[in-house]
Amino acid sequence: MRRVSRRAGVLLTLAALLLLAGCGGNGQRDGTEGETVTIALWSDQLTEGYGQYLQRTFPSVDFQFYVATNSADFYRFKEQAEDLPDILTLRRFSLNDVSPWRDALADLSDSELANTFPQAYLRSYTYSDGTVNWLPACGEIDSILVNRSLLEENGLDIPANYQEFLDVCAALREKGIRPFRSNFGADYTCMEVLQGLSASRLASQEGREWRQLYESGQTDQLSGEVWLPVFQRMLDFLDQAGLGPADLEGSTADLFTAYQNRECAMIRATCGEAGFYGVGAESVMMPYYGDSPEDSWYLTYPAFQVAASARAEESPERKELIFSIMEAMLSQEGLRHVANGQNMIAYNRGVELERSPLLSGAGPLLEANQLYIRLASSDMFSASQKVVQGMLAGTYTDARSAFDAFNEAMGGGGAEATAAARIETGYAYAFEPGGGSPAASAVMNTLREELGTELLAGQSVNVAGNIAAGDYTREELDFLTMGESVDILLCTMTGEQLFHYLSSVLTASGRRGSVINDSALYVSSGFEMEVRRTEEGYVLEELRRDGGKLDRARTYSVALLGSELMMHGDLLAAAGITDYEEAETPFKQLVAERLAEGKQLAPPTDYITLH
Amino acid sequence: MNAEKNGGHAVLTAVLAGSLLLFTLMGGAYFMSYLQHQIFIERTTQLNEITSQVRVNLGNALDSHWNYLTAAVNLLETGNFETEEAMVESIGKLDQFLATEHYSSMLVLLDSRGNCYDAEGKHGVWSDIDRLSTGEDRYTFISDSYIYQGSYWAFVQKLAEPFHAGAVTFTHAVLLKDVYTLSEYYDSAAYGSRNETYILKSNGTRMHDGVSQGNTIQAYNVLKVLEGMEGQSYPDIQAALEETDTISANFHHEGREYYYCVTSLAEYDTLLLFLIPADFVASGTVNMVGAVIRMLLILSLVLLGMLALVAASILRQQTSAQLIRQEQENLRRQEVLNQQLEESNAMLARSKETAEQAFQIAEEANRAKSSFLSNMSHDIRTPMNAIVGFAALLARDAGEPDKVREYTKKITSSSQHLLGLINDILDISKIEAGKTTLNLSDESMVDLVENIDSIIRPQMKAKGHNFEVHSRDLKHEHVVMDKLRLNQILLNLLSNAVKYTPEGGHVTLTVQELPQFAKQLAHFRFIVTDNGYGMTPEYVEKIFQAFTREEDSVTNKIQGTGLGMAITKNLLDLMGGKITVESEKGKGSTFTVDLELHISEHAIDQGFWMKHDILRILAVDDEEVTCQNIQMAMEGTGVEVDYTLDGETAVERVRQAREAGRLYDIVLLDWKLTGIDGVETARRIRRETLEDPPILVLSSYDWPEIEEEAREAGVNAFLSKPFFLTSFRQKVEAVLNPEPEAQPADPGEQSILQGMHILVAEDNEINAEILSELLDMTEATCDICENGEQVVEAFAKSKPGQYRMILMDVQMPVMNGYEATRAIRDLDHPLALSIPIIAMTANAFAEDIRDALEAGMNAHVAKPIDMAVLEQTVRAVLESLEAPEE
Repeated sequence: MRRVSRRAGVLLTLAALLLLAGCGGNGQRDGTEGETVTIALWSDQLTEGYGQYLQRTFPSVDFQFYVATNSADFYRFKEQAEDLPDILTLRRFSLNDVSPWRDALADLSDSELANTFPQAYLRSYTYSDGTVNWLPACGEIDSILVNRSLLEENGLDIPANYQEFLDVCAALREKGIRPFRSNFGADYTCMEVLQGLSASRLASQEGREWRQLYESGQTDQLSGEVWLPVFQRMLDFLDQAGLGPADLEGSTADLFTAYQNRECAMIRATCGEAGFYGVGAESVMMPYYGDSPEDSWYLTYPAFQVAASARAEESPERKELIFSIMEAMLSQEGLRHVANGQNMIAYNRGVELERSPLLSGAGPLLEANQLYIRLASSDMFSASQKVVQGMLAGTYTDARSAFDAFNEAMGGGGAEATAAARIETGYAYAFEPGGGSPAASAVMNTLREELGTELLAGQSVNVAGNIAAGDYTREELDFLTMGESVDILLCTMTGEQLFHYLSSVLTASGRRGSVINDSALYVSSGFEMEVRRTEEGYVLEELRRDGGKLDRARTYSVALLGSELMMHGDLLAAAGITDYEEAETPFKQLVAERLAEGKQLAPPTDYITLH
Repeated sequence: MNAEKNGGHAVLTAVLAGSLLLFTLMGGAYFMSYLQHQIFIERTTQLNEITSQVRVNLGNALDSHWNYLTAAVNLLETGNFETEEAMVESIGKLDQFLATEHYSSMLVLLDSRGNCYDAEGKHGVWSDIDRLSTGEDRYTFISDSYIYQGSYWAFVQKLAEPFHAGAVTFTHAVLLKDVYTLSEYYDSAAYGSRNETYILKSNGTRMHDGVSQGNTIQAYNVLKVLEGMEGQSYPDIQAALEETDTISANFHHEGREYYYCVTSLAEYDTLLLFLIPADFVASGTVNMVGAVIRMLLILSLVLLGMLALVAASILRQQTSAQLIRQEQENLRRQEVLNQQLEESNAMLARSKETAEQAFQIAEEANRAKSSFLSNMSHDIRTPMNAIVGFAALLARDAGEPDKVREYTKKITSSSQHLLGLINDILDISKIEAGKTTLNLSDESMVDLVENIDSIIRPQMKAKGHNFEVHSRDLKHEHVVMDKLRLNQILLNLLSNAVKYTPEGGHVTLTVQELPQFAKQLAHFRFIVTDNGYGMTPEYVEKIFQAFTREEDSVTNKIQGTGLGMAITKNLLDLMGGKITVESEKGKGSTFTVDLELHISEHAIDQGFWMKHDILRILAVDDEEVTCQNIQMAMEGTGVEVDYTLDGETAVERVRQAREAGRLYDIVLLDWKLTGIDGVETARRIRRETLEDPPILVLSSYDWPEIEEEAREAGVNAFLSKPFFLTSFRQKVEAVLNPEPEAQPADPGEQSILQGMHILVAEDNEINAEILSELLDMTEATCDICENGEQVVEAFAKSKPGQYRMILMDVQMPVMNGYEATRAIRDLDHPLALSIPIIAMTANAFAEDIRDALEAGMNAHVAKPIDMAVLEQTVRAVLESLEAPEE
């Protein structure tokens, strides 16, 4: 993969950081401070309740959470820096992507946890020697969310096969309703729509045999027999559904907003997302249509996979703890916090999840096992994004060109990347009550400098763990911050408003960006916080700036970093802020580009005093 | 002692018992280990055998299903299916035809989408469809598809030519076989149906989900768990299976022992794992071994019991034996005690006897002493009577000089006898007290014999005895001896011969050297023979006992102490010699003394003869033995000795020698020769020869009687018999180097003491007076001191030359004579070292003489003072002091 030889410096610096921070994977279990367990969350979705659940389940454990980049490459980067978290979560999974550093992970094949999974599910996680490193959490259903009532209002039936689907699209377009939309700006939607529309084809004998060759590493090229029809169908569909370059813009939130505003009749969505955005009973989750109803397929994949660092096996006690946490993560209670208690398919025995009401009509297909598991290698994501977006942009107008481009993208990413930046000083991520997380502070201070605001507030989990000194490729610079880019809102606030807003943020629960524990507290830049930890949670007591209290009456230029769902909701409004603008450059880009320009991270400051 | 012995036995018993116990335990442990190992081997062997059979059976069973499926596919290929329904119907017919239900199996066809079609129609996508994507023609695995509840062995045949039924394309034919119906192949009765069966993929992961419920190993990767079990001997079973089809071993899990056997069905990518609690593996063998062990334990216990009994018996026997031994020991001790008692009694008896003997001896000794005392009384009183009586007569007849001389002579004789008696008594007392020591010095045997001769010959002559002295084979003249003691011995013998031989008798002293026993020792024999009264054999037996004298009418008249022979015997014992006596009453006696004496280191000057050009000697003696003695004595001197036995021959020899030019350098003639005598022979020799070789006359007679005649005849010198080389040499030297003859002193005219002023130490007033008078008789004067201190003081104050000598008594008050002598020698007086000091004491033994000399005195004279002896001693002392030192 794309690595540069800078490992020695990174390792040494990181080892020193870990020692200084006292947050290595082998924290002492002395009964008072508890064991330290680092968990990399594949998404900040897991801050909504999942992290809190784990902390409640293991109150004595000092969890260090951060949000990773949802990529096997991220963990490979961490593994090479010997900075793997104790527990890894990864949504985008293929055995090929993780096999190069499999020895850094614990073998779960003999664990009781693995034993709870039917071998049919474990097969795809089992290496030829019987080793199992990863276990799947519950399965997402990822297909076409149809606003049944909207169709009905327009005299349309819910399509039963692909042709009917196209017909409905055409009819809706005639009625001025966007028939179908997806967040094509994100790679995964590009990939899922591409594969989902041809699930029947890909699940055929030929498709399976090619996939077998691909997943076993025997080929990295698409089969024309299998895939040319796939691209052809995608082109046809884009054309029929009226999708074009405009669909490259927008976010998932925008998508659901349009769907719920009935601007769009059908969207690509998962049951989980539908539940999250509050999609009501007027909608129904339909499969990716095949030529016949029996040939339609729901696309599915695990919500995420879980693995443990091999460090867990260094002592029986440590192993027991780590495995217990993993069991809790994959237990019914744990999975309920992933899928809000529904919308997911349980894989392991003893877990019963409610079927989403959106799937009320999916019974026959589900019983007939018409479930297509997406092919989700990293290359597949990136190539799909490139080709599908190219199709939308008009770059690839025929199946062959798309096919070729895809193959080119599949095999073309292997060049050795060169160093894009060098970080002179490394910073530990571990939270210190007397100052906070140095790594998070360094990133937030850097961001504030880049944004030029007086004040800035963001969440520590937006920074992806320890920052090691050394050389970084451009891709690795992105690994310094959380994978899914958070929003940056720029506004002016009085000190009082800021205090109000942050107080609300610290106590908000069930939201993306909720505080889990100390390691997931908010970070301030340009001012300092005094926070008290109580039985009920965290209470903001005071804000300080320049050695004194923050002037509550004064107005400051402020940058707020966080989930749009957190900030766009009532919290900001409750603080009296309605006028703001979104930064044009994404968070991780701002940080990476500053470093790529040869600048260094701003030095961290003691931003918090936790009482 | 017994306690120690018993303790030792106890320790030995304990050690033996401990060793036996240790041996038993170690042997038991080894035996148990051996048995367990054998049981392990037996169990694994059995498992391997069973499992191999199972594997073959199962393999056959699986193969048969393939045949079954192949047959079904062949039948299907013959059909022509218009629609899906027709295909479904055909599958149903085929199931019926093949009686699949009877065999708990079913036929399934898969379409290209993975959908399942069986006799009942289409069922959705097979969950194991992903397994059929590797491009193989055949797949065999266990399916847990939810479409068909349960677990099935799936035999999947990819159709070489897919069937088409309407729009559906069938790609695979599947035979599903209920996995449990195959269990008859591996739930072998041989396992006691106690085995758990795991059907695994080759990588160790379970192949299906159903069968693991309730099994011992609850894990997805069963082999990995198995490899981690306690006591597991295969850490990598997959690797081990690459070497062999089947492996068996054991492990412990939650306190229970299990055996397992894994076999590989490589063609099906499958492992069969059988897990059985150890109790059910080879249970018959184990039970049999258990029974054997129990039997052995019982036997061991019985054996141990018997051993204990035997040990107890042995201990009891040992105890009995010990008691018996103790009893025997007691008996033995009693016997010993009895024996000792008897011996004690015997000893007591002997002691009593000895005591009685001692008593008798004591009585005898007492009697002897009484007798001795009686004799002594007689012997002492006799001379004392004479002295007292003649002293009285002397007083009465003082005016008659002849009577005075007569009485004085007899008083002197009696006094001498009394003195000898006292000396003998003192001698024997001292010898018997062990206080006598020898005073050894280098002496000449010639001097000894000549001295004796000179002493005894007058006595012989006085009694008219013919006294002869012979020497034989003498080679060593100079020897180490106590001259005084040897002198005493020989004089005792010769005195007795003189005394106990009637007048005119014949007495011979023979000195002979016998062959040496040792190189350093010369072996001498002295023989004194007389023809006197002789002794009875009874007396000869006790002649050497003290205080004995033969009671005899003749001998009783002879003065004697009865101590002389006892002294002689004791002195010879002291010298390591021996004495024997042969005697016959009336015929005489012969005393033989054998004595070994160290040869003196004084070298004889062998060069004397060469120096004087004496090469040839002619000896003439009618006794050839004498001639041969001379020859022998001259051996080694380089001088040739010829001898003849008569005078005429001697003269002729001399003449012949002269004519031959080989002159005799010396002629040695006996005086008494057969034919012409020695003097005449000498005369003829002188006459016949012009030369005048020295002629010496060898004679045992008093040669002064013939000296004048002999000298006239040409004899140069006289030599006393026996022939001694030293004497001969001295005489030759005197002849060849004549010195002016010294004028012999006239003892009657002038004493050597005349004119001397002598310092005398004498505490006894009478003795002092006597000495003073005696000295006065010699015209000498003296100063008398009463003790040593006075004499030292007197000498210290004296002027040099004031005293010519000192006569020193030894036993004195204040300071004895030895101390006084040492003090004088230490004085700062010009003559302190040179003034002659002569001991004059009643301490007359050899030790006394030695002590005196060591104290610094020059000579010793015994009391009572004999003026002749004193004068002789003084002369010798003065001569030695005046002689120039060599």
